[in-house]
Amino acid sequence: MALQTRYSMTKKIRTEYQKPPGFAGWVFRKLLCEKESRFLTGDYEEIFSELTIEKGIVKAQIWYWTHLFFTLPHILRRSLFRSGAMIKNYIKITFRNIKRQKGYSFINISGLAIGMACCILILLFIQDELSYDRYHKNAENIYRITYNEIIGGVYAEFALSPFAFAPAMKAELPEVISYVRFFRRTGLFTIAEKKFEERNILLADSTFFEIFSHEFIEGVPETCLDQPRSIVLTEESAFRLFGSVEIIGRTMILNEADELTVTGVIRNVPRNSHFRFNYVVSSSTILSKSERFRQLFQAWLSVFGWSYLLLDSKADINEIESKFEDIFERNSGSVARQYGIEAHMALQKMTDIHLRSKLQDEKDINSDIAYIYIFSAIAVFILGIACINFINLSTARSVNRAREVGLRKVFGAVKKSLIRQFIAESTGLAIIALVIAIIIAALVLPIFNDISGKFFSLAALNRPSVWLGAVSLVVLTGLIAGSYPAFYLSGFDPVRVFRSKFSNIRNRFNFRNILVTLQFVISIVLITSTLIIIEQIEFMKNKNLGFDKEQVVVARVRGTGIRQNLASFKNELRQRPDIIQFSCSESVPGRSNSVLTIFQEGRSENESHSMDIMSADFDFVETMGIEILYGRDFSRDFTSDTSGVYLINETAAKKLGWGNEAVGKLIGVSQELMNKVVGIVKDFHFKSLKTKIEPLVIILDPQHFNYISIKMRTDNVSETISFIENKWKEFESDRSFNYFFLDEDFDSLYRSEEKLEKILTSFAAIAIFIACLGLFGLASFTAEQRTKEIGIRKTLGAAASNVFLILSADFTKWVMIANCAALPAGYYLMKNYWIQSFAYPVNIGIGLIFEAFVLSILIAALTVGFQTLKAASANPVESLRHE
Amino acid sequence: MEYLTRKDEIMMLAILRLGDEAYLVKLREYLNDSTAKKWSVGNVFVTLERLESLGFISPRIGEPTSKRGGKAIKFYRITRSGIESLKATKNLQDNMWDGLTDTVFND
Repeated sequence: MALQTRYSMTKKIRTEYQKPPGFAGWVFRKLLCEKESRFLTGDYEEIFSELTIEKGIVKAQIWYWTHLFFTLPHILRRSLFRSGAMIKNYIKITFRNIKRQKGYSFINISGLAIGMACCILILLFIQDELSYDRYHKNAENIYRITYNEIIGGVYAEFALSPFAFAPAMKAELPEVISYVRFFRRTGLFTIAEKKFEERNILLADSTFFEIFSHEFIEGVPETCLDQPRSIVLTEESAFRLFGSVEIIGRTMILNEADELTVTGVIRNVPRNSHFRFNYVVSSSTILSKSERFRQLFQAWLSVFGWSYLLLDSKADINEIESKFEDIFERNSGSVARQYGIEAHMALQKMTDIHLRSKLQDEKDINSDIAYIYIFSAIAVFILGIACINFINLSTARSVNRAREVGLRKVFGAVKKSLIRQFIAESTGLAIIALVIAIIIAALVLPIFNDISGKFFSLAALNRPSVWLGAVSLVVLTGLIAGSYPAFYLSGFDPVRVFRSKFSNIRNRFNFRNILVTLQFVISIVLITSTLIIIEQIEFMKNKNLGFDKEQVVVARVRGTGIRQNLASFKNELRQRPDIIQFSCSESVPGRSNSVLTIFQEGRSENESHSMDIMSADFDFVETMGIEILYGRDFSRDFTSDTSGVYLINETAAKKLGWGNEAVGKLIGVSQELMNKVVGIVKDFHFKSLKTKIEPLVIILDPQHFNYISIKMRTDNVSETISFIENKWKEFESDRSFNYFFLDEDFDSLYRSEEKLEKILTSFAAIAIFIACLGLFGLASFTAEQRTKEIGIRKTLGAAASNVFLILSADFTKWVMIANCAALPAGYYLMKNYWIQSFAYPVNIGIGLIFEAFVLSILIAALTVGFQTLKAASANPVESLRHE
Repeated sequence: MEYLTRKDEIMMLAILRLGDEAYLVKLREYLNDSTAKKWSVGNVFVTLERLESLGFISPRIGEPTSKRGGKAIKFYRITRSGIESLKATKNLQDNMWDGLTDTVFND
């Protein structure tokens, strides 16, 4: 007793009531039954009021919330136990319904599963795209310097930048912590007599690994590139060249000249990096021996490599950029003006490069933010179509569930609990669908990789984000798909339901039809877009390019063997009658050219033009099948040609202001080096059809070339190629014979369009499939419901064909309406957002629209047709017998 | 006769101790002080509910007060069968401990 009195005495006098957080109270009221919550919340509020007085409102709030959180498990367990019986009943009913209506359940679940599988894969894709370059420790503070210049009115924006720029910025701007410059080469490594022709070798400043975070297996990131003649390999290339990663201190010879020492081995560059490489060599290696490179590293106006800056995290980008002009002006303004160049620099955030940068000379091909949007939209559409199926079939079959709803209501179920039941049911189905979806996703992963160009493994599916996404998918579909049926079904009036003639099938203009139309609108938009894309790609591939790309094999010349013995190599090739013509050139159509400033006779220095220029051999025009409009081809008969004469294309002639009279005029890359234009060639597409034909200058310079193009006869192609290969080996013992067909290479310019085509085709097919599943379900349901009507119609003399028409007219009507909305929409979208980006767009004819129209009607008719036909041809005796 | 768990036993003893003041808030304060352990509201609540459903304690609804936001207090008192099970538990414990106290405490 003593203790008890002490206990009540020591309590402070409690005075005022404090109101606890409203939301927490709400949670209690929801979870506990009325009677319990009254006392428990009272207890809570008492403690809360007391705490508020003792320790202040903030601490009391914190207490309230933490306790609510820790009490929840206890309370939940109790409330679940109480509602357990009902939940058990719901689960039982769900499974009974699935079993009883196998067909519908299959349609519902498989539609949802396919939709979800698409969503999961798209989620993976988007997540991967967004993760590019985030793995660097300083990812947020790394910026690339971009360079744009205007020469003769032509604007070009490069991912490259002049190498003198970054050091100048580091010296002048305190925000710049560090910089790295690098460029890429191919090279030949010799290791103990063995030769390896390797690509993707970076020559970089020693700060490379300070700025970019790469995981080192061997070596020290900070110092590995400090010394000249140091090389860092990736794990994969180390294994290929040395068979081991423990190779620090081993040596290898680059291009038979420099002996390099291995100072580090890093893990392979992650796939989600906007540039990948196999080797990094310290740039001091090349600087110490080549005067030309020393100059390039101090150049203010020529670009040949990439520069990145590491900035202070508090640096203001706009402010830094505003200082660029001044730095540039002080160092090279006068020179730039002299050459008529107007140059600017800008900064580009590294994490934006992969999705948002499309400059000239990107290191690797970047993706596009548009893909993220397209993919997300498709995911939403497909899931939407699947949800619509669910809604339609559940409401359509509501007659079958009406009695259940009525009975539950009679036994005291309120609307709220019925809604809960139906939403729980749809969530249950969504869970089943999810399991199937994960299996589907795992199975189609290789196909998806092929389409998207990614390298996901099965393990990629087992990520927290995927699980999180999957759970939210279930909740989302459960709610979306379940809500309308739930409200619809729970609203039935029990009295009406139990009257024997209850039926709700014949409602005219109802929600269900609108949804079916919506499904078809989405599907038809996808079909139309796909057809338009296919049309555009076909158009670009088949258009006359102005040169003959067929039967031309092109080989890239990398070594010195052929260069040094060019005449005898050419003689060898002439021996073969299958070879019609061949030519050396600096570039070939479809590959990039140099861009130089062109000066012309009779104009001042300031009126220069920026034009694509390539060196070529005598036979280039003939090999490529290019037509000469005015003047003549390069010719061995004119000895003066060897001094370097020009051919220009029509566009260039127009640009120079001479038109047809350009022949015989003088042009040149500088005022001092002018030479004659001997002919004008007809415009041909030396770049993809995405861009307009630009001015092109071809200079006769047989010694300066990268490619050998060989035009050959259609027969004996493989023998001819192996003949060339053998000859090649005789001249270039170290270098392999790498060749490509000009037409294939040129068509590969449209790879990103083809990727889009593939993506849209597959997803359009899936969307159509799911929509058709739903239509099929609906059709068979209608046919089932109208069996008696059909029976009566037939006994009264209707032919099967009449019945068929009556039944299918309904669906056809809605698909027609969908067409009316979707065809213009698809046309408009593609015309304004896709086609217009091409310099040579295909003309979308009425035929193509008609094609989409017929296709959609056909698909819908086939889907509905089978069920309808079955119903129409049924024997009326069967359906009417039981009346 | 069913024996009480340790938690149930402590709770019932606390109810006895607090007499007319035995309701959730007070019980929790008392338990926090005397067992040197933090009792969450949920923990106390669930234990009380269980004892009530077993019939060892019975509730009495008190007057609503303003400091509780106008909500009534639920007081508890021990029932007859509650006393019986307390007795049985105590007996069991005494029997088990008989003659072992010295061994445990003096070793």
